[in-house]
Amino acid sequence: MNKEYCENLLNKLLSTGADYAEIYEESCDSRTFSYLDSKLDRINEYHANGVGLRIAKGTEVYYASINYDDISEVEKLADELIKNISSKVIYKDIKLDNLETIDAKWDKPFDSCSDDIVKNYMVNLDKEIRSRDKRITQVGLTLSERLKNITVSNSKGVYKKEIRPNSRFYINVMFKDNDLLSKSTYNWGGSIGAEILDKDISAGIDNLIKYGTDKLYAKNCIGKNMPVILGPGFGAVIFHEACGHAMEAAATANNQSVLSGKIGEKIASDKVTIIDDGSIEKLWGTTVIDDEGEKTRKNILIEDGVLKNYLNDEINNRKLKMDLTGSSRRESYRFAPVSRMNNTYLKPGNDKIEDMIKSIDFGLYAVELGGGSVDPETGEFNFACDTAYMIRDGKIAECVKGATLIGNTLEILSNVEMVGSNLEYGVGNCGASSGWVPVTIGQPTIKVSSILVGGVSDDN
Amino acid sequence: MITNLINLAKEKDIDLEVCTFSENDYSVETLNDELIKFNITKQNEYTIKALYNDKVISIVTEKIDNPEEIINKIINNAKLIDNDNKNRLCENDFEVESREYKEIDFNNIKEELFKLNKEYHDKYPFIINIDMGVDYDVIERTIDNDKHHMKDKYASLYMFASISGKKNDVVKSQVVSIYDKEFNLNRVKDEFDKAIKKLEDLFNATSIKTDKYKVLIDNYVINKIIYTFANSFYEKSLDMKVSPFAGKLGEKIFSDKITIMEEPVNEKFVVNKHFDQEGSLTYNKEIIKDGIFKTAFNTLEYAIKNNTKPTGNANMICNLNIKPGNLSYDELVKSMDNGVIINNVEGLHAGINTSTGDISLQSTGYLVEKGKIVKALDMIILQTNIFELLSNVIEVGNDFKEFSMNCAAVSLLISDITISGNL
Repeated sequence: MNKEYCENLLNKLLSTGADYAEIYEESCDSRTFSYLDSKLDRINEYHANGVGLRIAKGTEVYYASINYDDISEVEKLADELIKNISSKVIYKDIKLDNLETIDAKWDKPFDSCSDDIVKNYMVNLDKEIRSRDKRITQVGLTLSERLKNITVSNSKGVYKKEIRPNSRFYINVMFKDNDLLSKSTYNWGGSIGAEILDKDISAGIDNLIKYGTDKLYAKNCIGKNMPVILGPGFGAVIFHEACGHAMEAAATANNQSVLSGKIGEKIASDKVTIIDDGSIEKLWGTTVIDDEGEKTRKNILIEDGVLKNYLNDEINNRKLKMDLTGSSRRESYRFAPVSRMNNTYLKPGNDKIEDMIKSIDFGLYAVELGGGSVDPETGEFNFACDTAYMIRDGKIAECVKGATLIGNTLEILSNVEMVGSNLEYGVGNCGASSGWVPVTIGQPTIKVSSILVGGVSDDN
Repeated sequence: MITNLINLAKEKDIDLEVCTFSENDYSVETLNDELIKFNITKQNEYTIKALYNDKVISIVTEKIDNPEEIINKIINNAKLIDNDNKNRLCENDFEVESREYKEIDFNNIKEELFKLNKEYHDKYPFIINIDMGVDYDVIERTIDNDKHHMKDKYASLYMFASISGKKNDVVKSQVVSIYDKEFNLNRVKDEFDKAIKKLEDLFNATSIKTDKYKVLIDNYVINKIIYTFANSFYEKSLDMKVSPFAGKLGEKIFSDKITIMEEPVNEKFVVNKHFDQEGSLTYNKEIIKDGIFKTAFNTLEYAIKNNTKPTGNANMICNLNIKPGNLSYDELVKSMDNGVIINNVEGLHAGINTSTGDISLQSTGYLVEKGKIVKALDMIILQTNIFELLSNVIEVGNDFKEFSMNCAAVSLLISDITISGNL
């Protein structure tokens, strides 16, 4: 689709009386190398090409997507879409800016690293991991490489193209001792290319082996309210679930968030400053522009416990009337975009981890966290604890089986008691109405004074 | 284009087939009295399976207009892959038009949703938001290689709603999920009424003391848990030792009251699928029979490797379900005497470990005393594992319900399950 074609199509979409029209083109090539059972088991390739058309009238959104062999199919789809909306024409004769192209920000393009190098890396890594412990029964290694090429044009004159690389490496190890089973994982990734294989992962592998073997003999966790220390990096899933989703405009604009209407209010402990920044170079959730063509940027959402901002998008912001934040995202052309998190992190503090542990008579040290979910409207959230140890009398004690931690947004944010200085990032995929998008979450080690932890009774 | 690709592959000594997946999806979503989104999706996706030099190569693509590029990728990937398990292409011919499906008038549905919204907002002033939508999906599948052709078509309708309410500054929400052949307003209202009752109860919900309880897990929750473990029943997961059921095929792993079936061609379900993505014909079968692990799902790779019949489960499981028992839901509540009902769980993607079988899930439900519901519960966690959960079954309900084309379930009454709480 060239500029003239896009202008004509946008004008056609606006002929309905819509006050916003957008074309989102995407091609996406991805490869996933799966190394399992000490063999390169398969290479999965996925190639997507399509277009999403969006028109809006106020906050009503009409969206259609198609992958096509012939461009006339896009015209037919547009005809089908515009049948559903009809009012007095507001905008016409839209002219687009000159195309702005944003190239991939990578050190090593995928094709600079041969498939043989990738395979050798996996062969050697598999051997290294298996040599570390005889209780390892399976090692799974997965490298995903994706290169997305998106172009967005809209009735505001935006006409931008961005080439977005993403790479992620995932290690999955099973341990077995008689009937005891455990699983340990380690992963890293970024908006990067083949440099993903250059990362020093020795500390990550050491932890993976230690946690996997500790978990083999894990005791039952005690289930009750208790103070919890959450490890750095993916521990920040607590903020992603507890307040991140509740700050997305799709929820806040429609009074579907526990944080709706609370801008300027103190909602968290003084120790809590939360930032979402989609522009940090090379992180997993980084892009230069969002999926509406708006530049990503550093957005301070909570500062010293006070709610400062939401994550906004074009349509939901029509109710909020705030500044756009470059947060509109979608999984692919098949989804209409809405405001989403990119790279969300808790600003580091000065508390020491030793002091956190010493301050707890009975509690939990959650070293590694899994994913979670939240109902932004009620603020009730959960997240899974993957590797954890009880804390008894100010000391780290026995490893306990992974338990779910649950709580309520406003309560938990106020319960953040100590914040360390060791900021780390973790990578994940976040699912919502606009599909699955890569997100980074980050935090230093923190102490929360009380969370409900799943487990058995003290009496058992 | 498909024929060109197959022929070009033949010239390069590649056996190749294409599974085409064509989707036409329409959906509408409203929030209170506003239209949030009207959506049309039209998509063709091609899954290419190629056999070259004793290797199997898979490419999923939305375009096949450059067959030379696809052939080069196949040859390149085949050089790298070590997996040399035997495989073959589809050897069946089958064509079926699914049961009749109707055109859906989405403008009419939109108006019905607005009326429904007004009716429930007027009737229940404590409601804050009703966010609801209807999604109608029509899928046509074909599989083609140089000798065989398969084709089928199916359609299904999902209706979802999130209803939130507020009383005494307490905000709670309930989800409604309906899967059917067509939009049925009476069924929607019935499900809404049940959800509103649960919502009202939740305003006064409390937690409980952490302990072991007799629990009644309703069909909605059982459906979610069973489907989360579905991939753990595949022969590959067992062989690679990444399933809690590895080494247990043929063994008794659950209560003898549990029979789990996959019934892709049972006509009582909304959707039937007659073949899988490799063209293997599907059939109805028992995965677990009277607690014994009888059949593992496979693909052609594992059917050939283990010299077993292909189960028709390449990239799909259809109508996985638990064989119903005799007691109704109300009879299960009564027979429980004292215990806890679990009627919703959240966070399954993280709270269930499908490699070890551990389960730890945020839940809501009710406390039951002397066979009667006495109060609603929230801030509780279901803490168990799949073996304990399905071995401790006392009674199996007859409240069979389909929740998606993947899975259906009944409620189960289970003894000695830990529920964590903060009292």
